Amino acid sequence: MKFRFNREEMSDALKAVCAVAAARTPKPILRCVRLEVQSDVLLLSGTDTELSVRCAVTQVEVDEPGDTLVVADTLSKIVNECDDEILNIETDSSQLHIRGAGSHFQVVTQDADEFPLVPTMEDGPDFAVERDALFRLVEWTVFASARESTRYAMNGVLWEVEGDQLTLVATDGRRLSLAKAKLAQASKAKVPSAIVPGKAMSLLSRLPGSAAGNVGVKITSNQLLMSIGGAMISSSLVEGHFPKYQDVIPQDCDRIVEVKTADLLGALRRASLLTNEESKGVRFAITDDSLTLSSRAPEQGEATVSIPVKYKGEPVEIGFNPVFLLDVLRVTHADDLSMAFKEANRPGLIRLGQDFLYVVMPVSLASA
Amino acid sequence: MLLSEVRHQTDAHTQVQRSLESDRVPHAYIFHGPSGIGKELFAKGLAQLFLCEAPTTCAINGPEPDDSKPTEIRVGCGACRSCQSAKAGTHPDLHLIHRLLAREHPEPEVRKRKARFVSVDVIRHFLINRVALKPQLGRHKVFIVCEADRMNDAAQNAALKTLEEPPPNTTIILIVRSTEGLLPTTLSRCQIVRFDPLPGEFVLDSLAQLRPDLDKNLADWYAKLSGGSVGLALEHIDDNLYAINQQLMEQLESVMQGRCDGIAELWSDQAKALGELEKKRDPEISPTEASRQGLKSVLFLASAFFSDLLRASCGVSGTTVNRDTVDRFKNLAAKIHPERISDAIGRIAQTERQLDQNVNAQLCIETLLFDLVDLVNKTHSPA
Repeated sequence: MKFRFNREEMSDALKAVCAVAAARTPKPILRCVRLEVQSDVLLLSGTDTELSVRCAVTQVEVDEPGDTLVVADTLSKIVNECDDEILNIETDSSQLHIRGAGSHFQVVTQDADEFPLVPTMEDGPDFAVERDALFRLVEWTVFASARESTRYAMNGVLWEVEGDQLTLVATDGRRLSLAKAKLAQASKAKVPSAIVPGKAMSLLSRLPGSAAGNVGVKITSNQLLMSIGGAMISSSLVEGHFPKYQDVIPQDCDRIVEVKTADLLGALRRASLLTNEESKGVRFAITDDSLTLSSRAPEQGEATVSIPVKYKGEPVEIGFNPVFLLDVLRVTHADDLSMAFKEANRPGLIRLGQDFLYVVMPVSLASA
Repeated sequence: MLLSEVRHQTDAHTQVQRSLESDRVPHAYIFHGPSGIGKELFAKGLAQLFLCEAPTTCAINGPEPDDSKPTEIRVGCGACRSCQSAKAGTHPDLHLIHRLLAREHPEPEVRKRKARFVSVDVIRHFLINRVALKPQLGRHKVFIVCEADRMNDAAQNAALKTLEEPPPNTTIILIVRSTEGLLPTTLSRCQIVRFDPLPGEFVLDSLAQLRPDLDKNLADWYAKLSGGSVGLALEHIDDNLYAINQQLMEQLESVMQGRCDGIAELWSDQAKALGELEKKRDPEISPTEASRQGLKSVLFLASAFFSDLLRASCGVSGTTVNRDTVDRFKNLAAKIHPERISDAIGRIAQTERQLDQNVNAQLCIETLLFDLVDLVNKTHSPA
């Protein structure tokens, strides 16, 4: 194997691979990146068996194709630390030689045949989504999924395709986040729904490539594959049945409050200063055009914060865990949002146009 | 790593094969029995069978070598890609969980902690989280929890839901030395498979294969001492217990003659030396725990000696470990009432328990030695 490559492009691709190639793993081979040199392209792949990534590096000049494994972290650091524009790589029987101007690194290689198979998207994607739209969906949902829950299905984000619309839903049992986007290219056949681990989706933003463009997606019985530019991610799916989320979304919330996101975020942060493990709740007292947040931590003190809102109707008092609201306010990136309530013991609803919806369960106010 | 490689575990084979044939495979097993007798091998073999693309059958002989009736068992083919990667330990659907995985945990806090137990963090991250994912190659997934009796209560409680109701096509195997350390709630969620100590000749044969340089008499001694465990015998060989035993015999000789001064110090020195070896085997062990384990090895040898005496005084000789020493003590053994000897063995077992309860090791040995001398003296004095 012998080739020259553009250092910067390689460095970006290696960063994505290193995000997957396990830094700590009981199986040492998973620390490696696979370098597949074909006639005019270098393919880098890494996997932790659950999540795999494959990146193409196109600015290469190949003298001799080949296939080898080296520890991803080591290669990445070498490529990062060099300041040459072009680097040379050459292998002998057991080592990889990286040569730049005045520097020469020898790295031990391993047998590429032992590397787990990284799936490929053989017959093209099922459907495509605009990159920015998908990023937004991911940002709006991933935070709400459960972690290490024994209710397996909630450990991931549900992907549903209907017609030309992609819906992502995540919940941990106390809040639910639902985001929709139009497909850039709809699927011809019916796409099965899938529950995807959050890790795969967070990786999406770390892939190299231009900001514009579409993400091609393919869902198989046990995997989700996403391709963007020359890179591809494949992830195992989560087992189980996702809760029937439609039933959770309240339809009868008629007390609607319009509020500036920044105002609410600031007020919540201040009010949550005086909450603790025992009394997590912040009381929302809504009267005509005013929202008063109050919290109380036993033996510490109390906080009261008022902000102006747009509201007409009967006063409402309802308690929420501020963490669940702060999480969502941080990712909305909108100036205004609307909150809707029914009663103190019914879930609250946050909406952002037609595309985003967030359901949050209230907490009992008895202790707050 | 085929299931058929596990020998002399007929009961386990029968029990597991029966559930396979009736198509009522439990989703969680507990494999229990002394260490080093093939539980892990069996678990891996079973995993290979579950993951294999083209399972086949294979005949294994019954418990006796000359048993003419071979039994058909289901095994993995050993040739397909799945079997080969399972054997190489790289199969993405075969998960081995052990306490040292804590070092690979993403949380630095967890990595820093001493991994003395299979902690709740390990169970959450490596079992509960991974069990939720669909199998990579689409057939089945198997989780083998090694040293599951070292799961603390929190870890066991965290795993209950998963043990009770794992996703489809999932098998969880807990490997334990004894079921004592497990909560009743864990036990009731698993099918329990018992593994028995191996026959002496088999241990001897295995030692001849694994340690061909070992002297034959020594191998015989180690095989007998291990009580039917290849793994334990290998550990004892690494610890060179034979040499320690030689010294111990002399020390016990003086105990038998009613003198025990200086022996306690010798024992603690030996315990420390053995503890160093234990430390190499298990880097997570604390120095106190290491020398405690070392001392337990010494007590184990002492208890083997008294068992030999008891056998001699009752006229049984088949499994005697220290044959030559016992010959020296034959007359003495005849004089001691078997009950006294059995008291001595009981007293040693008590000391082992005290060590587990953090009683000062030095005090433990000293009182043990005084008591042993006492027991012997009682015999000498007229009733």
